[in-house]
Amino acid sequence: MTQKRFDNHYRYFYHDHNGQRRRYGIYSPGLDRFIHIGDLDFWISFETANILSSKINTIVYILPPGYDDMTNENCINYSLFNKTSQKLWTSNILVGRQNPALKMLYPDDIILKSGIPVDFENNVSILDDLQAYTNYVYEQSMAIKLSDVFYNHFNHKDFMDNFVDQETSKALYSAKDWTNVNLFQKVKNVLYLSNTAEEADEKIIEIWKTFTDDIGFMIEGYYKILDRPVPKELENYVGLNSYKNLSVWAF
Amino acid sequence: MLELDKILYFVTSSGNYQTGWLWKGLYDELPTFESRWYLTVGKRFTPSRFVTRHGEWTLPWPQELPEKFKMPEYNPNFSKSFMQVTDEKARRIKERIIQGEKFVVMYSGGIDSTVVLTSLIKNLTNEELESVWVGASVESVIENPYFWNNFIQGKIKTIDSKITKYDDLIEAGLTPITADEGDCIFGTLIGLNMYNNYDYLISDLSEGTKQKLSNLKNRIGDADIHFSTYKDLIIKFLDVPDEKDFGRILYEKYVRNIETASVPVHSLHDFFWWLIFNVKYLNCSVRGALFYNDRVAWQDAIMSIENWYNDSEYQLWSMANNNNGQKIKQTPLSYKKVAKDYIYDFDKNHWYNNFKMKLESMWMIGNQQNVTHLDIHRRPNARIALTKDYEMIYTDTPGVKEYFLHHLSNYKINWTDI
Repeated sequence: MTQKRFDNHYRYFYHDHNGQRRRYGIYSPGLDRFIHIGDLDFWISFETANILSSKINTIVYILPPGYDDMTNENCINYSLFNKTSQKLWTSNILVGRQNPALKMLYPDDIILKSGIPVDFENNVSILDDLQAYTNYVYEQSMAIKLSDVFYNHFNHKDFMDNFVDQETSKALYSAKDWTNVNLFQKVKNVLYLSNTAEEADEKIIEIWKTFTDDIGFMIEGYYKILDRPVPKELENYVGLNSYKNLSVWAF
Repeated sequence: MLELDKILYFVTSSGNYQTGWLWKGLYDELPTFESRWYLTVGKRFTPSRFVTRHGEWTLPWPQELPEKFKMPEYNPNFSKSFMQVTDEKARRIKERIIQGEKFVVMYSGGIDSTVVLTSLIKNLTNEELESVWVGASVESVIENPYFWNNFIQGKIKTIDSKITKYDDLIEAGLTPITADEGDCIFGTLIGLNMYNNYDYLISDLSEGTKQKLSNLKNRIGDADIHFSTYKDLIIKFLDVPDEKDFGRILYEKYVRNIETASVPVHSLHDFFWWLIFNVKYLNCSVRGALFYNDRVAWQDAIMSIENWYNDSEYQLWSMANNNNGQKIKQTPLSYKKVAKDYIYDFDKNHWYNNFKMKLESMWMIGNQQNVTHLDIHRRPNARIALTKDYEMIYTDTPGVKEYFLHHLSNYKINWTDI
């Protein structure tokens, strides 16, 4: 059965009505172009868009079926045909708000190939930089989420914040995550405020270096997820040498 | 009591009846398309608060314009740059600070209020900045985290603008500065929404018109393409479903106003700029004093709030700088280009300069204000008009229904055929 407009049943968030895996587009209303296409998970696209909101306001769209020609490499050429009904409360998405929302595009919504945005026709490198940073944040967002659930085994603070009543949370306020200082929130803040991937990389290394706890395995895992070697500056923080305080029985 | 001959400064009518039962009841009672027409404007632009400052523009009721918001005479030779005008404005505030006045900049993080704050930081000494507070909310940080982190946090005192209304500030001896007329200087959201949907809106016009307009999409700020070239598109954009000919009649009303004014209006962007610079200007100027203030007398609030862009120099700059790429280039993203450049010259934030869009920040503050301490009939959405004597008219003011019924019934569409 074809998905009808405004049928937002959760089954349509990962697969379309043909059973095909859906993809997710980060769309800039100002550029009227997609700046990123992801096929991993809309939560990661949404996290990426939130982090990017310090630089550009976007909407994350669950893309309609088809449009296989549109890829992450060429999406800067693709725009939305009818934006009149694309709203955030009473405002059009163009002027709605700085931080993103997640929205659905339905089978009859049309995506058009419109070419490079006219504002940057003579300065395409600005768009290249934007997309490079977006791709970088997308990978980092994935690594942060996976590292948190894979390696941050004792993230009780997060659990208390999300599942336990506020009274208990206040009484037992010492609940913490393994990193003690809300590490992943710090990394996200670096991504939010940095201007380039290089700047963010350096600051993330500094964050890892500030730890007194033995979390070398988490550092190693984080870069493994990114498929990048552990930076030289962190070599002394990973491997067996780093487990200086942790009891063996934990493993 | 609202007598029939009362002259008004301001009326807010709403097509979706946000201002209560009054407009809905009147709409149902009015017998003709002509008598309902002005309320239909409120369906298209909610709320509708149109008052002209220049040129012919009939309203159903007797109307005057407060002196403070009159339009200066157009001067084609005005040659000061946006930067000059802005820095000079900051230096006038500096003089007032030296005289002992204290200010609160109502800061959204958007382009207009960031210009205000930038100019003050540029032109004031650290000691003088001690007399300036920033009224901000969490949305201000989200809209411009770079500016917040680098130039506000820990450097300038802040006030939470979501829980501090104009009356709180004025009663504390502070002068609020609002950038609310920023859009009036540069253009309007109404235009941006049309440019943004250009391809879609022209798609079902006649083949010939579509052909002609498809090549003109990126020439919205080109003085050589007169706005009337886009007439069919504008009418379609202005139209209201089930209200036959509404878009055409409203377009003709705007055209009549433009033709009877002495300020040049050429391009499509000029057309929309003129709407807000002329007929929507008063709304931007007084809505804060009337709807984000409960205790300070209406006249006192209107007079004591410093409307940053309601300055003859800014208005003269605005009239003399159409179609030169400073207000807009080819797309909505380039809107307020000269203002973004002014900010960039100071903060060097290229992301903001390249990608910042004008956002609608008003609803985030205005519509989220606490009104529960007020009688339900005295809350902002029950305030529907202000008389020339600065008396607030509420939905339950005696004579209010009779007043509007009388004037709307006698309204004549005399600027075009119906």
